[in-house]
Amino acid sequence: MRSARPIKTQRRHSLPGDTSQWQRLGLRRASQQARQSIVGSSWSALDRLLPGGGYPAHAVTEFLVETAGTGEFSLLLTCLGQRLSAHPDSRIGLVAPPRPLNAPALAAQGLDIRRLPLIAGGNDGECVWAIEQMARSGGFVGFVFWSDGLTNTALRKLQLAAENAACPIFVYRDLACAGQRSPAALRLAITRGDRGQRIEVRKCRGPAGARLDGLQPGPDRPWIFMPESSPATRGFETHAEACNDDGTVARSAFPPLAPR
Amino acid sequence: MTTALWLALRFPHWPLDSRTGETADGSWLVVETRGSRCFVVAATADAVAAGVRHGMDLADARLRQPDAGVLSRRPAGERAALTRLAGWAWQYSDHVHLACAGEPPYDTAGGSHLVFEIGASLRLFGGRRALRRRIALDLKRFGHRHVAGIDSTPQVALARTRAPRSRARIERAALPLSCLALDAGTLASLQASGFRTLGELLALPPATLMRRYGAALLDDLDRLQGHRPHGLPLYRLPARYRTRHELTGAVVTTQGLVFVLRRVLADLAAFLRGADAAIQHLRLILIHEDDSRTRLDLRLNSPAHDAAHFERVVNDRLTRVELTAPVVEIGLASERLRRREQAQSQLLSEAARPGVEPGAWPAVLDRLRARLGHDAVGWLHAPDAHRPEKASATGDRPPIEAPTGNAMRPLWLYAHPRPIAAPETLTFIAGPERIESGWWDAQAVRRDYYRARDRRGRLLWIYRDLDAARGGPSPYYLHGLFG
Repeated sequence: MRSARPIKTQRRHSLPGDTSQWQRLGLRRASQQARQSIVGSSWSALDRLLPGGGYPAHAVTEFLVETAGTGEFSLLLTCLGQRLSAHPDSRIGLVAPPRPLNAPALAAQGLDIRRLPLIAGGNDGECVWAIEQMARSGGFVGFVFWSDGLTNTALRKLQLAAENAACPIFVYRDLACAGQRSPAALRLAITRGDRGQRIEVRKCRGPAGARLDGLQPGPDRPWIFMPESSPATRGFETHAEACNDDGTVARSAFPPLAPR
Repeated sequence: MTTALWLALRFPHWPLDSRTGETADGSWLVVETRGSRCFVVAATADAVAAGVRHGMDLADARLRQPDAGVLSRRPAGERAALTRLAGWAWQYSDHVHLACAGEPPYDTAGGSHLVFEIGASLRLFGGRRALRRRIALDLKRFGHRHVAGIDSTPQVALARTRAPRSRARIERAALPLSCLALDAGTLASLQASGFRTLGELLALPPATLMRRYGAALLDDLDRLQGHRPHGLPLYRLPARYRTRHELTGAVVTTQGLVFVLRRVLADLAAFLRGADAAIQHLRLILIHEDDSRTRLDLRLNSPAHDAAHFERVVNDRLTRVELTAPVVEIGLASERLRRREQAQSQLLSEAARPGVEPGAWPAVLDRLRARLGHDAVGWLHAPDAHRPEKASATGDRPPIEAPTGNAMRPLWLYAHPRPIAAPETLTFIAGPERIESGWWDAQAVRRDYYRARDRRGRLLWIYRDLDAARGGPSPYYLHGLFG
């Protein structure tokens, strides 16, 4: 049959003939769909897992945390630090942190605390309003927002703010919110696995369903990822319990995306 | 030296125009009661068109304009408004004299006025015409009806404002005597003697005048001609902005207040422009009908002078306010005026991105604080201290220096360490790190800090209190969370 041909070639990851003709019809390859502008997560293992190779740069990323204090914030810190140092006059807003933050710890992670305003709103509505205002002011390269009770509307507002100001917004929520619908571009669940913490992609633009095991406490950093089986990095890991038998990152259910 | 040139502005309807509020719609009369007589001292334009005049009995005015609202006169508010306007005039001159109608010691027949010297600044503002146009435009925006007069001495300039409109440009000598600020007895006597104009009076021999009317008249004439210093008390720029706005009607809703405050803040901005100043701290006092007060403190992030910015900040602040009673008066008090910094245009501005207004962060910060409270926005500080609880603090502005360090510290630090009931369930990862400090104050600590993981997978920062009594409760405390 003549019509079977295009499907067959698509499996071999190439569109037939004139690709622009397909694109005009709104058809794109999944990998192209995922090729949005991104913010590197600074964890190479995580980057490989995420569509496009990092957090979406102009959208909301949700972290669904099972237990607060299991490394969810330090996961983000290097990425935030890199963003701050890449944009010298910029700020990152920390909105409604649930506990007092410790200044020396942030400074030790390379974050310039002069450029980290803390905003404490009375309720979610005020916090979202504050983020919208700050995003509109320019000069912000990201926001981190802690809130469990965000509504769909509030998230949508955040998503719009992120798109307009072209900066990522990271939202920490309880894992219990995973069941709710969310307009966030990326939803990552951080749970406790058998071997350290597990990061699971609950929703993303592009191929989905990947997960990553092995976030572990290390001796000189709060958390490290279990390195992939390269001996050099493996020696880095000294703690007996953290160093697992094979020391590999769990493979995601999908083949890893092509490196960008 | 430039020749002195004085501009006099007389405000015939000042008792009404000085009030802040919605006088645009509806007609209003301001009346003064003296003894048993109640007469009109100011009226809106449509009442004037209907034939209402100064000094007319209220009953008479009611006959001509039956649906007019009647307000009683408040001299204190008029005075405050005129003082504000003097601040505005400061941008044109540092010789500003103001006088309210009916106030001693200067006779101010025919309304409140403002006189200031403009000769020195004519060049700066592009000549007399341009300056007049600019001033007229400002006054129109404030809604102050005025009559202007220009002459080389303040007294004559004022006399010109009182001259009938048809003779505004007449020679000085042809000014009617009734325009001059002479005392009533002298004026009546001169008019009875057949004198009509200033020129006729000046032609008389001084000795005769002195004998007949005393030295005071002669002094007045000398001042009129500029042979003597004008002797008017001059306005001095205050160190703080402190004023009160009388409202035309009581304001019940926040929405109405927004409207009124626009006017109030425009006055503030005009004053700041005149004074070439900026303020960072402003207190707004809403005075209610029952004389209770609501105070709104606005602490801006940086000195500001822009009406639009004040307005946005105030509107955000108002969202947190519930009006308990109608507002009849608004008071403003600022901190010391600061010299205005001229904005430097940036050579390398922040990269323009769609949907953002670059450089707007200080303004947004003010608005956030106005709406959420001043303490809602803060920065972390890292004081140089060894005790963990003293090494992290928050302040209302960013720290001067960014600390660096590589000590292993938790991201979250509990303000009050929590006792750990069952330390045996934890997996100790690293430690101990001895922290022993603070012997000089009452909060001395002797602790061994450990990193440990609990069964839920959290990485904790715990310490063992070395001073804990043996056999007491568990000496282990949870102090922080690596998150």
